[in-house]
Amino acid sequence: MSITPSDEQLPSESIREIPRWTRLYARNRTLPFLLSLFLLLVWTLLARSAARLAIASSRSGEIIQGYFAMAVVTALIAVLIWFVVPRWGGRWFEKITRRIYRQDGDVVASVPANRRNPNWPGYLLTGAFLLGVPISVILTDSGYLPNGYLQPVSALYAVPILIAIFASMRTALSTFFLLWPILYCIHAILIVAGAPITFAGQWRTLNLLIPTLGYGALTGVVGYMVGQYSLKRLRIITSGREARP
Amino acid sequence: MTSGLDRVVHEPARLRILMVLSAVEETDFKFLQSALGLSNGNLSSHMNRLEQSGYVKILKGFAGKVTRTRYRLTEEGRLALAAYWKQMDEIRSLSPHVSG
Repeated sequence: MSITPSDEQLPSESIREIPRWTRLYARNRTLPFLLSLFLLLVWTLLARSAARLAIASSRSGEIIQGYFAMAVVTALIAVLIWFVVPRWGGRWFEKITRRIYRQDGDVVASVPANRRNPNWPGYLLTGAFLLGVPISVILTDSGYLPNGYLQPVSALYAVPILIAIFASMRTALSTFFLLWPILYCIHAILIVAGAPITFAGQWRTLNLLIPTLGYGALTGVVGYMVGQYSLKRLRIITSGREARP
Repeated sequence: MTSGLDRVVHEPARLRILMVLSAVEETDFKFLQSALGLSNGNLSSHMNRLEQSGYVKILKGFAGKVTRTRYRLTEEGRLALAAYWKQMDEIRSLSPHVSG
């Protein structure tokens, strides 16, 4: 069925902006991502404590305590694997996302590749990053990796992995995600240039926690703010309250 | 000036729905309602009309024990939307004084 245009008022040009704000909002629903970072922080602290206990036990000859600590480390690694595999952790993540955004409803910028075809390179990259960070912390705590080199060395794998994650999920992720590897890289360059931003003693874990979880959280917060602004703009346009030229 | 406009697309609420759906892979009823500020009944009636026209595909599924209805723009809907905006551009270029 069709009508002649002279019969009706033409739609506002601002309606053309709806896809832009919708897409920007859909790609910046970062609260579940922030929750994941928090869980990863808890995981890292638990893994660090268990690894320390295992090392201390092996040095002091406390066999039972050592086995217990190793069992905890093994269980934590199993939890991490569960978290990374889309069929297990991915479904849990979707459920949490729906619960967090139950007021706003569900919107998917792009169906993740894992719901179409298994995206094994993506899983391996995410897993490598999630495993690489705590392993680096444990290696530094154990004295195998010099404290000063921890962050710049980690940047050699973390920055390419983060960029690769963005490339493999670019239809679902916001461009703001790139803020994370950019800040990570700047942090490494500053350390190599001699900037006094290296932590020592009991705070040395921060050398890796700040660029990983810290910059990740910052990226998530920026994304969240962009998402909320986009949703506000979208609602203004759809309600017809936008300023007309 | 132009052959008539598609009435299904031209209706303001449906045009907004199609524009939202054109930007994403899929969305649910709640998001459309929240983004567009439409009532339950109003949105349902527009979604039914869009589905009948073949512009929107309704996907029923379950999230745990709860029924979950998702909406996706079809290729036909995408083409209809593109054709609609092309017609709008033609109208505007012929009548520069026409305002939205």
